[in-house]
Amino acid sequence: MSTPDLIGRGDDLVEEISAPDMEEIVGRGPWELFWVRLREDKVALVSSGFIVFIVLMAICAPLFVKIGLAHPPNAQYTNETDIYGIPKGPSLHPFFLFGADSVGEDVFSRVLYGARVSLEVALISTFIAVFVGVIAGMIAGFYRGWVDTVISRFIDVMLAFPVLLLALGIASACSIGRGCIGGLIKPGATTVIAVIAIINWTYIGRIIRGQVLSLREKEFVEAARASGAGDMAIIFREILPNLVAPIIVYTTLIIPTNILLEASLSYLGVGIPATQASWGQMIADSTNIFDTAWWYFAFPGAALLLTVLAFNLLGDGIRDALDPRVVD
Amino acid sequence: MNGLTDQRRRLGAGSSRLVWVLLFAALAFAVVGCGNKSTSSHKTQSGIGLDGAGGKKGGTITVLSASDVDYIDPALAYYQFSWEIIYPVDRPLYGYMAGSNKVIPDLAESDPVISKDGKTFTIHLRKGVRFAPPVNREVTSADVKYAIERGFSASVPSGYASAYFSVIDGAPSTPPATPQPISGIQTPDKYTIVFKLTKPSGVFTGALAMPLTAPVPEEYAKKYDDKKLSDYGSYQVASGPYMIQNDASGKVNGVGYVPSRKVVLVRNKNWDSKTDYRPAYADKIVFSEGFQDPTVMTKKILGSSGDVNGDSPPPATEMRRIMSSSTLRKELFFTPASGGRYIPLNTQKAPFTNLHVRKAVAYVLDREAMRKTRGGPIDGDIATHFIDPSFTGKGFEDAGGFTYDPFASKNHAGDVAKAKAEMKLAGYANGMYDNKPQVVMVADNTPPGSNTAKVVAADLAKIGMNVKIVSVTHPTMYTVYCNVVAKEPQICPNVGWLADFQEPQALLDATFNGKNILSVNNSNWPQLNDPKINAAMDAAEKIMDAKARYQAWGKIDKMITETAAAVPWIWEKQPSLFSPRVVPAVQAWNGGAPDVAFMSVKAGK
Repeated sequence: MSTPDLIGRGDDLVEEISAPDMEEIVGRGPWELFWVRLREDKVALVSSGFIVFIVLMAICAPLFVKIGLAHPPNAQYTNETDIYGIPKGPSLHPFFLFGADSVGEDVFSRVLYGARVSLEVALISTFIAVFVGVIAGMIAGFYRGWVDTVISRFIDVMLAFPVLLLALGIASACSIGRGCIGGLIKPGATTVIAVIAIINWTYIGRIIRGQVLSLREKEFVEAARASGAGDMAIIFREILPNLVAPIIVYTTLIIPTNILLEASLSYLGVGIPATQASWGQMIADSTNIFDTAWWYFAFPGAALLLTVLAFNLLGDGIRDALDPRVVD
Repeated sequence: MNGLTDQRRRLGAGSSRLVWVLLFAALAFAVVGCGNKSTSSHKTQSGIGLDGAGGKKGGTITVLSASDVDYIDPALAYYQFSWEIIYPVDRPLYGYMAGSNKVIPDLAESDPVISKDGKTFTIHLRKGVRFAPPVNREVTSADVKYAIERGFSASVPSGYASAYFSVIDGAPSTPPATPQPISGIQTPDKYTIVFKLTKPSGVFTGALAMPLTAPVPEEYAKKYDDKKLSDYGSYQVASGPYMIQNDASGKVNGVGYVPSRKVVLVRNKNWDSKTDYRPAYADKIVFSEGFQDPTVMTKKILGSSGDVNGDSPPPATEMRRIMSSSTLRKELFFTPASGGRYIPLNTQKAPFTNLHVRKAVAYVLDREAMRKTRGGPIDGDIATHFIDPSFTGKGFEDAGGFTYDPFASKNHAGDVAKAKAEMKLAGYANGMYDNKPQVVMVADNTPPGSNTAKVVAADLAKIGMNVKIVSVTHPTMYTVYCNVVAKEPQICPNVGWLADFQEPQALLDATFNGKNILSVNNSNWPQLNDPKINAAMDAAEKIMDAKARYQAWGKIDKMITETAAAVPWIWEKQPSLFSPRVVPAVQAWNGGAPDVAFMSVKAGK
């Protein structure tokens, strides 16, 4: 019992849908697709929201101190510990939102300033590691032969070291006196950044080498070579743009690892100097009184957990959006 | 006496891992109930004297400890916990009652007869003191002579023989491979021993109460001592009321002593109570080791599955809980340690070459906040000079007691105005330091030391000092930086010193005498080399009259304090927590360690 109406409407529908749709598909580049997919990923969105929040908090830490919501991170308030030196918990009067630590410092303020240290160290060291790793990986993969052997074996040796022990060794060696390499790596944050970069470039170097090995045999590379392009031009103009996706994915995934590594080194006492607030150190200092002063342990711990989690989830989201073939 | 450089005598890092030091030494205000705020009472809150009286005979006492003894051989042992075990087992010439710091005759019958020139000490021994099985015979003066001689040999490298017994005439300056006779120790008969000294020594009687003078039977020990390193400790023979449980051959290793596990003391059946002042109530004493977690140790004691903490104090959190409970706090007792902590300012490095800058630091430090980093009042009294309250009657009053404080401030919280005034006198406009050169501090990287360093740094910022903190482990702090003259920074905030000897000399000589500055393993941390102070110390060491000697050292203490070469901040006390089933007793002269030869199990427990 079909009616002409229905048929007519169906035809209209096809036309209405198909025309603009066809246009849109044509207009979408790979980055646009990436954004569309990422926007659909609620978890990644919430994670990036949290990262923006924590970055803003870190940047605004001095502002919090200025408007009186937090105390200066290194100011000691004797009244915030009892006569046995055991710190007092979170309170609004006086305003110690997250309570105080063993010497009467404001835990809230130190968590904020600790975020600055964590993010600073993790981001800078990640960029150094990625930079070194990409260069080394591209050289090894492109030139192959003895260059590849030297670089790859060196990477193998580096990967054979137990990460934390190596980090501990380098960090303690550079933490005394003027530092190492003639004062180039100074004790403190610089040492931690250097240590993390030294450890991490190998992973990305190896991945990039593998990618380049297959890319250099592709037709477009051969075409470029046939048209007379030099090695540098091929590496940077032809191969590098094709590596952007793995680099981005890998970068977002090693940032949280590096935040944890910084915290671990500070926890073990070879990281950030005692005068600077850092999450790892706060957790370390809290261990002998954590059964009484839970806030000293809980807040930096939660900040560390949430930040690392957020970076990890965002990293997963970015990977899925860039490479939809990977199905979790 | 030079050579007070043994690491053990330095103060440990943390409350949980205090390598508590050997105190030979008496503590005058010996033992103080925790309920009393000041150190002025001998009685505890519940009224029990800390001498263990009132319990029944028999039963077993269990002492809990984190770590093992350093050595089981009485001549080698040089650690507070080891002496806890040695004094009930061995009888040195002189000893102490529980709860007292007074040197009294032990194996000796009476006080030494000292010649007029102070160079000959004659001592008569008690009759009827017998060695435990397998030796079984009576103790003679030759056994004491051999005991001291073996301490000078390379096979028995005693940590303190040369420091305190090298004044004996003929004592070898380089250790012979095996024990050799020393001409200055003579035994005219079985019960008499004579010491000939090279110079008068006012403090020698104190040295005779160290475990090195406890008798060792030569005919039995010789075969062990003649080895490259003696293992007599594993086969030792007791002379006291208890012995480490052994087998028929005399072996204690693996029987009553299992390293890092336990030391078991049982009665010495040859001991005659008529020859001894120790009551020895309990039948058996077990030192149970391996309680690394002080919280667990504390809970076991409060639950009576252990009787007392042997080598490490309860943690601050448990202390607070105990202190706030009216029943629990009766079980907690504090004993002043003979020594304390101070902040040395390196007088050989700018800006602390300047007296006024040092004084400014002494004024600006908030000692109350510093003390809080170690647990507040439960860790001790705020120190205002160096001779501490354990020396009451032995120089503490002469040094000004509790009232002398040249750098006083309200509540010990520091006086910024006076500090700035001193900085102006030192030539700094506005009273603020210009950070040329920057002040460097080498501190512990873990609490409580790291917290103390942070407090000190925050205080110094008040006079413009922008301090750089280098954080290292506690042993590294000592061995790589603070004990090495060439590498010592301007400030070492985590050092401390305990005297082995209840004589002010043992407290001040190694630490402030200019002639004791050593290029490595140095303990004169401020590197103080003041000719007037050095001369006063040299003179005081030779004074034989105790009263005059203490007065002289009291004066020296004031001289040192006024140089502000070091800022004293805490006179530590050691907490002992007893279970409700025992009557407590402490070795007041040994930093308040439990005295198991006096402790007893309460009737009905």
